[in-house]
Amino acid sequence: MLTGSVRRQVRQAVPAWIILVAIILLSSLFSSSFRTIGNIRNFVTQSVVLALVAIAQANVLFIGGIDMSVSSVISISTIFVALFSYDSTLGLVGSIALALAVGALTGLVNGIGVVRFRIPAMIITISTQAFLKGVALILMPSSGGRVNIAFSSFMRNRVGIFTYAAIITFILYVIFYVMYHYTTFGRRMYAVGNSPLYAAQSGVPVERTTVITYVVSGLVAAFAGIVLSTRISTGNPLVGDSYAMDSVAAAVVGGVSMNGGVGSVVGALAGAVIMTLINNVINQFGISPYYQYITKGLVLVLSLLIFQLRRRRSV
Amino acid sequence: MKSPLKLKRNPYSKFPLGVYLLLVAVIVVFFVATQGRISPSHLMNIVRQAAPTGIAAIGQTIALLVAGLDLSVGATMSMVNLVSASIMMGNPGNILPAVLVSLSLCAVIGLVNGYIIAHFKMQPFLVTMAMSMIIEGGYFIYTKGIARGDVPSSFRVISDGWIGFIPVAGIIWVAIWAALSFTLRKTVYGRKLYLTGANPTAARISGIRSEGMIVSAYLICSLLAGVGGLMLTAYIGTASTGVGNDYTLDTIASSVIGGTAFSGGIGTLEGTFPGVLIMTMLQSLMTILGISTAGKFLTQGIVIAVMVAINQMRQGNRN
Amino acid sequence: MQQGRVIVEGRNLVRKFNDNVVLNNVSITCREGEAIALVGENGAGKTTLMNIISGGLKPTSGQIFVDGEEVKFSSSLHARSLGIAFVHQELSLLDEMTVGENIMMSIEPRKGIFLRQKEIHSKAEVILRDIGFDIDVNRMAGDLTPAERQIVEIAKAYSSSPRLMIFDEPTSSLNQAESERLFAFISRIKAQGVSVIMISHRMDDIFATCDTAFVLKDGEFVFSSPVADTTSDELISKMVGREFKTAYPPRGTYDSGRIRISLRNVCVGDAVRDVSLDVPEGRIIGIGGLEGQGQRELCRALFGIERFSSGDYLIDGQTVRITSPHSAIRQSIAFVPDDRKAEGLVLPLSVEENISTLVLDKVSRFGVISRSRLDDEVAQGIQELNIKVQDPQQLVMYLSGGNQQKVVFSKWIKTDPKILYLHEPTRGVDVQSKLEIYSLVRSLAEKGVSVVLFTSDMLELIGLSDEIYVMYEGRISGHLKGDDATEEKLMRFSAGVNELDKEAVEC
Repeated sequence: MLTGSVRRQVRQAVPAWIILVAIILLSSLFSSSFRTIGNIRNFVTQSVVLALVAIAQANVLFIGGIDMSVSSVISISTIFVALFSYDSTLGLVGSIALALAVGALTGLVNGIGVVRFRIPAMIITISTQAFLKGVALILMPSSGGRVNIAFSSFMRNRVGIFTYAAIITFILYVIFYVMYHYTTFGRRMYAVGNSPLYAAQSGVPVERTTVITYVVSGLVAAFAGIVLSTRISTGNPLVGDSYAMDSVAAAVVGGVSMNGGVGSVVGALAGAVIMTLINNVINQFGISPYYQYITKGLVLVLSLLIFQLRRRRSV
Repeated sequence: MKSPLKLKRNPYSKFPLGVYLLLVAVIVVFFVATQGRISPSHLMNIVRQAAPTGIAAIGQTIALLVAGLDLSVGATMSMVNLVSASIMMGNPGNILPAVLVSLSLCAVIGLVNGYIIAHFKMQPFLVTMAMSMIIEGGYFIYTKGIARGDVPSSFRVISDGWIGFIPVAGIIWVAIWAALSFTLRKTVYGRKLYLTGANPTAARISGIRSEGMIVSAYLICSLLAGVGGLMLTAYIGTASTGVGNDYTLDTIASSVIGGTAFSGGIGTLEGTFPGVLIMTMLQSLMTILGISTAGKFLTQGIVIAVMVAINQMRQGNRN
Repeated sequence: MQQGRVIVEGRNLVRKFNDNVVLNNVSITCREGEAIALVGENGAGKTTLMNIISGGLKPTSGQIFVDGEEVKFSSSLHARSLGIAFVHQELSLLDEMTVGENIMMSIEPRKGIFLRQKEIHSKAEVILRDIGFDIDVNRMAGDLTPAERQIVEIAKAYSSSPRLMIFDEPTSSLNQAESERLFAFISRIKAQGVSVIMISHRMDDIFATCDTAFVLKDGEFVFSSPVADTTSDELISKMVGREFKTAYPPRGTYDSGRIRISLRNVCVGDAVRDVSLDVPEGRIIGIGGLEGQGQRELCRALFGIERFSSGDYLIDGQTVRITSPHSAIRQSIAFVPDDRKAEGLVLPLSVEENISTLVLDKVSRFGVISRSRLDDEVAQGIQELNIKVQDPQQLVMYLSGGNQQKVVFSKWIKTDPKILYLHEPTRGVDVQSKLEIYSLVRSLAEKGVSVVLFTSDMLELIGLSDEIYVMYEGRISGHLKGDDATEEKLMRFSAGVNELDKEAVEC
């Protein structure tokens, strides 16, 4: 299965998986509360949303972009679901469709901004992030609304330690893994991330690939928001805020290059779980949760630095 | 391609007249929206309110001029608010140590940002964003989640004092702005900053130590964010967690309205000054419409996206 | 050789860059199964012509016919879809993909939306074997040697089953055995009716593979003949012998006998090997050769942009360690880089800011610039070099190439250098400005400045230099007095004729 560049891309994820396993083993060894089935279950549930956002983020990182707007897309999705889904099935389907449509639209704006107006990805996605946050605050100035109970309890159903949400996330990972490595579209994405210029010379439709990639990211981020809403049962205009940074950190820790064209979604999964685990472990050991910020910031800087230094040496 | 004969002046030495016209237009809109119930003293109050953003935006412009970006400005302002208020504790005698400690912390932040960005050639937005997370974590640990401190009234004078008709905050802002505007235009340092920002390779080949220039730009940016944070502390008069966080995008928006480009070496402080006033007035308009918090984000998002798109298209036409 | 169906024809092609005519009214016909050798000096317009034929560049005027029908290429992809493939010299592989994936990029075998990874690699392997090379298709393109990259690039072009294949100096990174395998491949595709155009400086290559020689000089067609009816001497004589359109300043009279710069066995990695030379005060020393023979690395190491890996660098008899442009400038060294837009100028800024870059300290007090002294310096610089600007505040990006280059010179002259390193100082510069730059350089030398001129323009090299060194594969392959130099002699040294003999003996 791992032929050609796929092997190379997937190999980028190996360090993250080793670190992940190491953290789990060490934590289980030293914390009796960590290794309880309750905590592990809890932890799987916690990981789901970031794992989904990590797909969205890795997606744009592969083509050499970045998407900061995922945070506001998540928030606004929880709001749509909380506002419209409570009463009826029709409302539920409608609210989900609305959330996905807004996610896709945001991606479209980002993609067009990058391709047509040549705005740096960081800047255009920060703008759409701010704008959507404004819209979210107008729709719902503070946490509120109610999420369809049938829907949220459905997503919380478990098979073993895995909720349905976790299982859907896992299926999405498989789908994206196949898309990146075994379809023509995935190949185009990696080519664009490697070098838009050379990709264009080789006949890759760079602009179209870029726009579609941002739209897909917007969709996945919206889906992450929908899943989050079933967990918190309400809508919240600020609940997505931390996910922009966390998803970048998750992807980078998972071996996805900020320069595009390198890495695999397999690594993003490990990265997302590691980032969640850091929070969980900090809680389990009774360390002040405020250290989470510093830890995450340091993890991000260090993994970027390591990546940069490794790249330098190979040049 | 346009005719090479047509005189193309340097956007940097050119006075950004368009921004001032835009400012006048916004004032007119403001006037109409408030049904003429706006007096010059209202405007002066807007200046007072804009001063923290204004000072921090000067720093942001300088970071942008070296083709950088500082996303830790807001977190720095929040940090300065918490740290300075907790040191002052309502005692005027503690003002000096509070200011010194705050600004020293800012200097460290700026130097670290600049060094990592210049030396390891890492993307500025990632470094400063990670820095912003670390700063937030730092002040949370420092305050244990509860903002404490008291701002003595003798310190609040820098924000709510008036000298006749003119607010002290406005004087401080204009003084800093004038000093740095002079530095950028008239000094060797300013020239080298523009040269480095517009083409670091050519600057290096011309013997300019580009790395040092970049570090200095981030240092100035963080220090000005610190001063902005002090002004903000004086303005709100209390310690409040995360109070500066939303300022980051305001400083970026103000800079890009004023014509500063993300590509480096293009932009002026003369443009940033009215840019700040425009942003502040737009947000005041949003408050009048009853959407103050949401409106802040809406204006930030729209202004940055639209201004950058316009700037990019103008630059695209040139080539 | 006039039989065979015409595949591609270019008629009366003209290409101008601003006011510079780089290709003037050239017509070329490519027939089925014919291999054309396109020869000419650097800057004769060969690559421009090929870019036009392959859709990478639009002609200013003239027509292109494919299979007798006129076409206007919208891009090189368009040309490729019509069967025209250009193997560029600068290679464009995606480093993070395998050899196979690169070769099959955008023509992958697929099933629905899925790629057939195995088939991609097996097909690529077949293509490589067709060409006659055995490179593991599963290797990452980023790990390949330059020779292997060149071959993969050829395979990539061949994968689209072209009817006209254009090669730009394909053997420059290949060794003897590899070159021969490539020639065998070219013979095979010729037999299949594919038309070939090969740009080459190596006479051996031409006589080994090509049917027709096509000579360009100064952007114009000068000579065409079946290869069988001509000799390498004839071809060289046709491509050289450019008219001395430019009047060069008289040679130098300055002679203090003092040596300013000495290089003793300096190396820069593998690019520059054991170079030793002396540069006297007030003389212009030219360094020539084909492009990519180590000149770039040498001149950049001299100015501290790169580092010497070994050897001694002496200025006025003292060993110096120059580790950055900053330290070079402190040694009174000035440097005009080859890439004016990327390194010589700060394009988004004004003429004034560019010219004054290196005199800021001189016109300021306590770091504050004196406006009037700055204006004086700039005005003087503009006048001295006769730079055509309406206003010193004009942006340099809107100046012509010649005026831009004068801005670069003006900036450096303001430092009163003792040493001046010039790298392709007149590339993309109009004739009038060239003349002015030449006399400027000579007048500086007459004042005692030591000049080292790195140029691939042979006429410039001969016309300006007091002494000439030729580089080939990182070494000095020849040393001549400026007065004794002829294009033929330089060509020999440049093509490494002597070196090749030596290698043959060693093998």
